[in-house]
Amino acid sequence: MQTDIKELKAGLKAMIVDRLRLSIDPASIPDGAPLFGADSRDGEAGGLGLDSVEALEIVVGLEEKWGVIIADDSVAKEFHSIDTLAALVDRLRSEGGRKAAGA
Amino acid sequence: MLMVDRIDALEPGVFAEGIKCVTANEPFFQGHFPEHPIMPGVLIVESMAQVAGVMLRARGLSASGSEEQTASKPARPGVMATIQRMRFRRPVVPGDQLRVRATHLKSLGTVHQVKVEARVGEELVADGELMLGS
Repeated sequence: MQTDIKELKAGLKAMIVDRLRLSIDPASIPDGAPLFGADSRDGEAGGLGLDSVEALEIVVGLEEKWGVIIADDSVAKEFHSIDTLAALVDRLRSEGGRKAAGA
Repeated sequence: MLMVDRIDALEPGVFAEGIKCVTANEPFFQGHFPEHPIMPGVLIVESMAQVAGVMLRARGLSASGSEEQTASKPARPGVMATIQRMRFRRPVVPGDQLRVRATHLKSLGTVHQVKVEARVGEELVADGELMLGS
């Protein structure tokens, strides 16, 4: 399970960097860094400063790559960092994948 | 520039279908290209975006994320945020009637992902996905 999550996080970073054409090394994204807004949160620096268009990109990427359905409200609640994204995808997958999150 | 002549089918927030009649008199044929008129692909995309805009605005979606829209406070026009997987499969030439269909895929706040297709007759001439924001 631990390795699953670790792989999932690496996969998430790779997907985000690939889809958003970020010119950074996926491995350089800290697990706890905020995705949106450049401010540090919880003491961790290095936010990606993504915008709303990129958020929708990530939603589409998650749905395509992991076969999950992301509900609108889970974006606001669970799109803070790689950590929270991984937890969301992991939960949705264990719930059977195609159920809406947070609905 | 208005790139839709008529909306033929509309289900607000779900899909819209419209036509653009492409005539030899279109100003863009002057230079695109001399002796070889071909409708510029970006203008096909513009037509798609306008049909998508009609679909979203009919639902009040492109305004401010809220679905309330009143006559006194019309929706702001949607702007193109991304053009993805766009393929131009066949040239569009004078005399063609472009039939453009926009189908809503996914929304997040004020950003909307829309699948768009353009046909001449039964033939698919271009298709892809757009994200529109406001």
